[in-house]
Amino acid sequence: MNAPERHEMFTLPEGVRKIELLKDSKMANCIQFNIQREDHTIANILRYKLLQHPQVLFAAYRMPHPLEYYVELKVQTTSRTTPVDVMKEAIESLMLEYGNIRSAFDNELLRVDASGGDLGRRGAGFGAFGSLDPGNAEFGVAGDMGGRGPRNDDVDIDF
Amino acid sequence: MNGAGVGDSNQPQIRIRSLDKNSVDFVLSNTQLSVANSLRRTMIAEVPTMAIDLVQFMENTSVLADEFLAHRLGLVPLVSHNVDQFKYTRDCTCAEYCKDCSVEFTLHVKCTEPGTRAVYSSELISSNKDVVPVSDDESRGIILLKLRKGQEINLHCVAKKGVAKEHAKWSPCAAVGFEYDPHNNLRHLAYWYEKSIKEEWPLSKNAEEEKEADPDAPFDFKAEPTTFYFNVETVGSLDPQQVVLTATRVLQEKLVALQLALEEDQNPGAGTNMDDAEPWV
Repeated sequence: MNAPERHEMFTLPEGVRKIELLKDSKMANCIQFNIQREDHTIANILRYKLLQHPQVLFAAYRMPHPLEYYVELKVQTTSRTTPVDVMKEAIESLMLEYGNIRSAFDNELLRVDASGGDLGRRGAGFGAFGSLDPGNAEFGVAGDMGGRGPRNDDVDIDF
Repeated sequence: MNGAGVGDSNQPQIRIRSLDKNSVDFVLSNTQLSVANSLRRTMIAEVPTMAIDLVQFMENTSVLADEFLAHRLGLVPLVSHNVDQFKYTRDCTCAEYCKDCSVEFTLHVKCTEPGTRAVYSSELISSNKDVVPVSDDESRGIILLKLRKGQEINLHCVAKKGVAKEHAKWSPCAAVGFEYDPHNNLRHLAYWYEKSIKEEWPLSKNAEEEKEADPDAPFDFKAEPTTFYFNVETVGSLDPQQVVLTATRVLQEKLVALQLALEEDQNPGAGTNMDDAEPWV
């Protein structure tokens, strides 16, 4: 009866900011990012990416409570950059990486399709994501996943 | 890339080992554990599909209670290749549900013969020819309930778009196999054993892909996993390759939302314009 609605864990309520930035008064060049309606999926990849950055001194996250749907990500950098800037770099790098995964997977699907035989494909259901057939009429429709060839510039998310 | 350092040269590689109607087995390499795990989590919980969400009973004289049947109907996988064409009901302009955010089903069966009459998921009549219960060509789908003579079931269902974070019925995956470091060279696992680890913990088939570390060599405590073995098994609502591709897109959409929020934070008002957003490729 008092249980929160399940969709509250991923829908951002009206008037709530996706990211809240809190300065740390005890550490120099340190910001805590409170990211609303995200969980380990996003926080863990960001933490990992940030730790790989040479200018990052500290990066860690926690989920304060399982029924409060936000994560706290704390980042400290050297004075040569700012936590917000390295955060932007990390986000960009990750977007590129998932784009690369998608085009690599698409290329593999083409290879598997060309080899035919046991790794055969299913006839129906490829439409929405672009058929495996090169030159298919549905190629490039809205919702096309892109990544048809060995290129990485095809991330076409429409917002 | 504008900065040096944040894993610039990351060019993940994929090798598909097998692909069929309901599963894809692939190896993801040259990436990190967190990225592989985010992909796994997203495939399980955040790839949207269609599932029955509301059930209205007009008649139910079967032996099963209404809520029991409603729960069963929710779990029936629906072909969701066109899920992108639907809105989430909460984002839709309609009052309750409409054809832009839902698909309606009806089921009306009465047993008039002596003996048992099984009711199959393929007997659900859909309002949309693209969203129907999953069934092989030769099968009639899943048995929903059984009726005896004189019993009747008459109901109306509404299927909506959703993700498995809300309810597991929306998950496109039956199971996602995920393994790395099959020889346990990194010692992320501490196996319990009686006499011999090797005899009591047989290696998986993924062990053929990697070499076992020399037991006499000093332990490399900085080593990290880079190769991940996935086996994505679906329930039939989406093709397995579609699940993988959609998961990468969902993750990118999440990252774009974060990027826009950061832009908005720095110069309020400007970030809402897509032209101001930084390109990411």
